[in-house]
Amino acid sequence: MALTEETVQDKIEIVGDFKHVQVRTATIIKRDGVEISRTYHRHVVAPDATTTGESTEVQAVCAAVHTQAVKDAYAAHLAAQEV
Amino acid sequence: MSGYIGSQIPSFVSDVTSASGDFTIGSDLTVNSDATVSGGIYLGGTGSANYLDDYEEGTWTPTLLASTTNPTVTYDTTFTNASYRKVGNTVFFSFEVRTTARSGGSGVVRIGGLPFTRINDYNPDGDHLSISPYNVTFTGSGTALVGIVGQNNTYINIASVKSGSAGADFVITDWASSGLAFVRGSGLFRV
Repeated sequence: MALTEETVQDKIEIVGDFKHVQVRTATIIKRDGVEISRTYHRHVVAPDATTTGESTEVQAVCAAVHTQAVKDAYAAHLAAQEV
Repeated sequence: MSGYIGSQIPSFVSDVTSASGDFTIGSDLTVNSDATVSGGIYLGGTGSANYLDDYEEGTWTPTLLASTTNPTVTYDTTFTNASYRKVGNTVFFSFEVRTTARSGGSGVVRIGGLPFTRINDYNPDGDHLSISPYNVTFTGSGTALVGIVGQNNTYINIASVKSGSAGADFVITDWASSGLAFVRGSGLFRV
């Protein structure tokens, strides 16, 4: 019997007015190649966030959608919020 | 393929494959193993208000931030953790951020790292949360903490409340610079 663990980013979504990039990371445990457990961990990359440390794929998505116009609009949105 | 199953529910001794079309079941249905639904399910009616299209649970990593400049933080990683449950368009979440040291930073306290982005509307049905702090100072005359997840945000703004006023800022320098300090919280917001 062999237990293995693998981690994959199984969902990368672009959501909302400011193109937040939502990333779901799945940790998959397999016994003899058959999945027996899957757990999720999530994080979101906002337009004003640094992408250092993100996967190459997430960095590419962020580079594509977090244009300067999106970043400027998001900064204006944050500045307009009360808190 | 479509059909109607009335009072007698057949026993499928093997998987039904290559099925398409609708089945109507006129009696109770018992599933003795897992059910996987690629779409959503209607509960208690067939209107859009009865439709549940998603369920997911998992973890996220909360971080101590500030609105102007983020602080440098040493976390107690044993107790710094967070979880979420997404039911339909609502995310229920809880977290604890525990630190042993904090230096620098300016602005109001934020908790970052939320697992989803809050919807962009002003409907208040789910953007506030309860906060339980330890080793913080209410320099703004507040007496308790509340949290708010703003529109289109992925972090929690934390403010203190006080009598006779709309509230007071809870700034990062109110957070202990040494020794144990933490906030615990839970709440929900829509996506």
